[in-house]
Amino acid sequence: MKKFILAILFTLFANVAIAQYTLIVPQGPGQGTSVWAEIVAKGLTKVLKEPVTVRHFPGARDLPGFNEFHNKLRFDNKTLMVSHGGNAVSYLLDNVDYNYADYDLVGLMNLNIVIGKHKSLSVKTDKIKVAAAAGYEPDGAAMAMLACGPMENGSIDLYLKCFKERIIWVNGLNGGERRLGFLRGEFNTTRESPSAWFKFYEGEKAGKHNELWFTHGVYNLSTKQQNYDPNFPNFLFEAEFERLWGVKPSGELYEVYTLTRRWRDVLQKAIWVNKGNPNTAVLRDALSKMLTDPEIAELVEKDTGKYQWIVGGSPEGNNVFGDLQTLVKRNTLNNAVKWNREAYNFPSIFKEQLVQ
Amino acid sequence: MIEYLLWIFIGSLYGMLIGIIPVAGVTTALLTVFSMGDYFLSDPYLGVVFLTSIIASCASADSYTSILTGIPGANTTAASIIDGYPMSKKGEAGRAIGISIFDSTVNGVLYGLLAFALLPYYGKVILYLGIPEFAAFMILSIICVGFVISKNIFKSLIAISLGLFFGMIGQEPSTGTPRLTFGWDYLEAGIQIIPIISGLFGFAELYDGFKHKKPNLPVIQNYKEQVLQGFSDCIRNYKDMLRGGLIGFATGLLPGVGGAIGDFLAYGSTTAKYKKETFGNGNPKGLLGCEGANNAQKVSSMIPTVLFGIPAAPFAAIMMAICMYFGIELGTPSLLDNQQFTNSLLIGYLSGTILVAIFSLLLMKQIIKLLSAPYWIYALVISLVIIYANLEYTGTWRDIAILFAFSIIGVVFKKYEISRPAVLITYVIAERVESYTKQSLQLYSVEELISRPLVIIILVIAIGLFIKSFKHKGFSYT
Repeated sequence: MKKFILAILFTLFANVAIAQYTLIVPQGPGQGTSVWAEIVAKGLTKVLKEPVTVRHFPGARDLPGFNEFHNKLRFDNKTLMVSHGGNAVSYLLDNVDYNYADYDLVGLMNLNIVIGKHKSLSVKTDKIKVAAAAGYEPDGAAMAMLACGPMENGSIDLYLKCFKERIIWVNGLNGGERRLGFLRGEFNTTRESPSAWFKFYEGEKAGKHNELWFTHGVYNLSTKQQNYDPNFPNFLFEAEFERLWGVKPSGELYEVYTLTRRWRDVLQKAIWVNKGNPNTAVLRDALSKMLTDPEIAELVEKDTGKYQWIVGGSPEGNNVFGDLQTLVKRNTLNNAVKWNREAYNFPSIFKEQLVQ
Repeated sequence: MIEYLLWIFIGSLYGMLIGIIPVAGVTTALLTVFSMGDYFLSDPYLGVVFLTSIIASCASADSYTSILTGIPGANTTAASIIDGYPMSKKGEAGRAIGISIFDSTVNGVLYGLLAFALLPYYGKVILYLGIPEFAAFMILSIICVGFVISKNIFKSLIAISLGLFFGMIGQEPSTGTPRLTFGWDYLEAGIQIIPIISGLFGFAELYDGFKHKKPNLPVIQNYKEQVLQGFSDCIRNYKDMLRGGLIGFATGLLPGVGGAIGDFLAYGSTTAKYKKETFGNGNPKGLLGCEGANNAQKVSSMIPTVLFGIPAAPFAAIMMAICMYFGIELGTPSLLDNQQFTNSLLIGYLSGTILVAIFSLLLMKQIIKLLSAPYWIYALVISLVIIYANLEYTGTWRDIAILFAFSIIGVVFKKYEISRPAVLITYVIAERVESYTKQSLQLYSVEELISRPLVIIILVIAIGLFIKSFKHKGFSYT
């Protein structure tokens, strides 16, 4: 028994003592960003020729993972942090220690989100049933605008009233449950990553009953414009709103929508290191090389779809923190907090420091 | 193709090796390969084939330890000891092994084919079930695992309460606010399944193994003749053999139940049929009546797991966790439309069942040698791999602290016979029972809910089972 215990202690110590690149993922194993990070870790291992492992620090709204990175792990030059679109919500949460201004970008994958619906759903009149989750803030705002149409000044209060009447926002379903609920008709909308959309609903798989409704489009970090996604060339929220209601979307809720969409666009899915990390250039270079590896490129494409990568240090990747901040205004931030709290029961708070 | 064959071979051999280690069964085998999850990211179906070949071969090999040493290879083969071990002591170890190989292979292949042939139809059925039916079904599962198969209602209540408590740690499902975390942010994503299974089952069983004395291993004479005699026993009593498989298959289908009762029910049915015969002193009918139940139960346990995401047994819970790791979410009925997935399940399971029979026939001498190795060596290797698997999560002391806590709970619960499967399965489905109930109330009015006949039928069955169990077993603290 003694030998047994000694060997266990030795293994524990050895495991902690081995230095290697580590990707911190603020999710549990198997979740979307974790799988993506495992693929990236595999690719970086190949290029760097040293092990890159994934460590999971899940927790409510990803706070434990990011806070752990910010307060402790970022000072280790071999530790990297992975963010995803869902991290946008933490801008409006309490107990957030971290700040992207303190980090340098290694690279980001410029992704999109797809919303589908039943063909039979009459957006202007029917109740819209949504299987929701954290990180769906822009989706809910977009659905409310599409369902309720233009409101006076795009008033957040009027939209909130309409949201409560027209949208059934059901939390707590995982991806499989959401899809099943959509297939059997309990929900008449679904929200998917592009790869999941292709996998489950594109072409014949869409069947007679489902169709793509809109996407959020892809943010161009050079031109600072929201563009059509080449994978879904005819679908963008703004275009769908105009088609349905004859005018362009505008007003308070639209500003909330564009703000939360921008946060998500820049954060999904990105890899960060502490500012001044001496390995930053090596990691950016490794990421660039990894992207030319056909095996890894194929794996990533299979996981997330065909999307552009922005490598840190490039002209587009130079000012991502600025991209996160440009749409932040006091009134918009206030409305975002109100919308989150009242539409989604989401415990948001206003943060003065974001405006400053 | 070659890679698939290679991983089937590795999985079958590995499953057999873990299976023959005393008290280490399929759950331990899967725990030790958890860290390999990311290897299969590029081809998840390869991972499915690997896992199912481990499950199939381990289910067969578990019995050899029970028969040869009198120590359960796993709790699902405990019934095999009753007549299998006395046969070994009487010098009929080869015959008992022959029965085990033939019975496990026939029942494994037969019920494997049956289960997988039916898989595509389950997906169609499930489209008729909504969130309220799922909620009712989960409640029924808790009643089944907690009260129907338990001997002691009081201990069941402890197990279920703790399972619910562990399952509710983390976030409130509709608002995402932290709850029951005691201010420890590590717990905000809930307690992870790997430390729970590792502690409750992995370490608790390994610890238990230290209590067994080193077995006196039998010397097998006339191995080939004895094995053939075992085969002929099975052929002669094929009805008993297939009935045992059928009972195992049926118990595996029950969500939350597919644990250690299938083989005992099968054994009981054989003894009931041959009332004039004596059992427990090496009657081959006793062994062949229960031996295949374990294999059939393993395969049917996958049905509620794949279909509803309700693990029918601890091994199924860890299979869910590993599959999640490489991107296959069990409990997603659309998976059943995925031919490659169902083929992988079938190929892995059948290949594992057949390969382990071949390995066993060829390698029995080596198996006996392995069984004679000091127990602490197995325990050490398995413990290290399990610890490594647990460090896959955050890689910090926190993972080990949770593992340690659950190991203590596992050892204590094993000692006091408080159902660990009930804790695990209630933990797995606790949050879903809660969220399904809330979602049902959001999506449907009370009138709509009570007009759904299946919901009412399932709930009436659940309440009936609870009352019957309570009346039958009483409420004793011991």
